[in-house]
Amino acid sequence: MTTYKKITALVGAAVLAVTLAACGGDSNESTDTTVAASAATEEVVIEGQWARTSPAATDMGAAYMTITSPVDDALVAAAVSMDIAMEAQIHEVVPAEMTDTTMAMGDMATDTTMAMGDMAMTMREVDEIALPAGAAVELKPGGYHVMLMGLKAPLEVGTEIKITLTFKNAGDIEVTVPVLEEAP
Amino acid sequence: MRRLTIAIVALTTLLSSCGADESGLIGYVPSFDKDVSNVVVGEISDSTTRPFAFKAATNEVLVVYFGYTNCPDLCPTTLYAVKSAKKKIGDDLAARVDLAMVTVDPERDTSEKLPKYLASFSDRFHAIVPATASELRTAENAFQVTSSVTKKSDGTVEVAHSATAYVVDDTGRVVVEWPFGLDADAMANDLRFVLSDEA
Repeated sequence: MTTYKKITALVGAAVLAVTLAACGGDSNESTDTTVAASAATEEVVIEGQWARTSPAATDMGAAYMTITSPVDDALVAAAVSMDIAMEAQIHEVVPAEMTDTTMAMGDMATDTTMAMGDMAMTMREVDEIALPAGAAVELKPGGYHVMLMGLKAPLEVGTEIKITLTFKNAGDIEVTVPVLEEAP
Repeated sequence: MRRLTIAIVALTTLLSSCGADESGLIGYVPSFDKDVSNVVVGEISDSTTRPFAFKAATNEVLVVYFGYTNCPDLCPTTLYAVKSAKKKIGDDLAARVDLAMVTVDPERDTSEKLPKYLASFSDRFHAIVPATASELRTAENAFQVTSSVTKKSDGTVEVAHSATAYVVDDTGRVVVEWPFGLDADAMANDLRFVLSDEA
């Protein structure tokens, strides 16, 4: 965690530098190059990671975190050991495209009576989550998450699991993820 | 695109919050008399099914959610927030909060499974496993919920559902709706408000 914090500070400084350069408007190119070069030697920062305790009678789970990469990168896979779950996938919650055949409500509701909150949501597996350089990308409820499928045992509050994240450029990074009932 | 959607949802939430200042509720207040008391569905009770109407007991509220147990993200997020909100309002008020979940995936959510699932969130609950598709649709229409279960060619099942939670009072009316993402503090605020109004 300590190293994470140091890296956060460095990335934060880098982001600030880039932001300041951007604000300056006519910043010279050499400044930008310097920032990019030093950032490239830093590591991916993973913060605020947690997995939701799994309710009884289900073998599905989800894990969340915030990822900041110093360079353009992408999260392409997640994995857990077989004693935790059968499979881990990267998912995204999206508005469901309700076609006439899948539309549940048949003759329902025109747009005027269909409130925002009543829109159906579903999940889909994504190939990757883009990580633009310096941007903190959140995996959070209602958005991206690492879905744990076929849990071997319920995820209990107070325990930890290890998740291996695979990045296009940064390779594999293992994170220790505490199990919580709600976001930290 | 995703950011835009989130921004719109945030804005909508913000606007409804602003509009709700007078009422004291943070969630969305239905713009019409949303009476759901006439809908009767099958509730699982000791592994048999008995009729259940969407109406809170006198001086209580009933939180209603449509979801499914294999839902890793949306359903537990909202249901754990409801659990947390009940802790925030204290035992006396929390004792007057009931919970009902209607599974939109009755084929996989059996009468054994759903009650166990709900016990993770509340000491009192109503596990509703619709016996027929039309029973599910009738309940959904009353709340204006949309759902679908699609079996895909690769063998997986894709479930889509509205992620709103509905607070029903003891007259069987939806008094406030909680869009996905509303936090436990906001839910606690609304529970306090509705319960103090009823008492």
